[in-house]
Amino acid sequence: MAEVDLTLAARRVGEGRTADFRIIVEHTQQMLFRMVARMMGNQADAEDVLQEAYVKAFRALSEGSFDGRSKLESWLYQVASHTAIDALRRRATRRTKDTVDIDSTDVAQAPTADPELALFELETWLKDLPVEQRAAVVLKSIEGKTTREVAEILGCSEGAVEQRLVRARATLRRRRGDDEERN
Amino acid sequence: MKNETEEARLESLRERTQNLAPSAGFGDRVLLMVENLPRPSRSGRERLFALGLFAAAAGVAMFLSSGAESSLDARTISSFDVVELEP
Repeated sequence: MAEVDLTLAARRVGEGRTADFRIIVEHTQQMLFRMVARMMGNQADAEDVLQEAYVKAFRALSEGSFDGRSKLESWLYQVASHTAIDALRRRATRRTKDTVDIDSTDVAQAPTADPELALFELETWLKDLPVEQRAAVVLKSIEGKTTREVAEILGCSEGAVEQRLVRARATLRRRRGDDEERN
Repeated sequence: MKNETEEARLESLRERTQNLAPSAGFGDRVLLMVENLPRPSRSGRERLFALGLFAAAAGVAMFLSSGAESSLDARTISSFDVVELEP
């Protein structure tokens, strides 16, 4: 497949050529969707969040806010991960207010295909983690980002990222122990 | 050892979610959405142009009115001069 110049496409979007945004979406949607789905834990929320992220990116490109200093893919990755973290925070707020038993709702919608099942397992495993810890685990341990990249995305120090990872792993270990005791 | 187990499980979930992709038509829906967005940059530029035009018009109007005022002053002074000179 021929190399596509996404920076050129981004510049054209800035000049008002909306159709060039399609090139950007087509070449980045799978990579971004995978990350957002891992963050959100289900595909429906991931599509909503990614759509919101693309709208934000389009607005920024139209207004000339993208300065081209970083790669377009890295910039989009940041926009999408910030949008996902905001959505996770909104969901956490809703969950604390909500009286519906979310566990039973989720179990009723348990998927069957393996990628969906894996996503469901991930969601079940990570759902009790605070948003920042969850984001750190997904970005570092699943997405394979460096501690510095995770710190940039989360807007905190590398030490804070490490601390969140240690706490998250401790919670996950404890949770695994509890599950094994129950079984 | 337990820590390794957590990492191994995360790695397994990473592999199993590697082929996730948005549903068919996702790109079209995004394009449709952005095509229907209002264009803040364009309207911003238009607003800026209109503001500049208004400021220029206001400047011209002020210049013309000050010119008219000074000619009126000159006429008034000259009429006083006339009054003083007549007797």
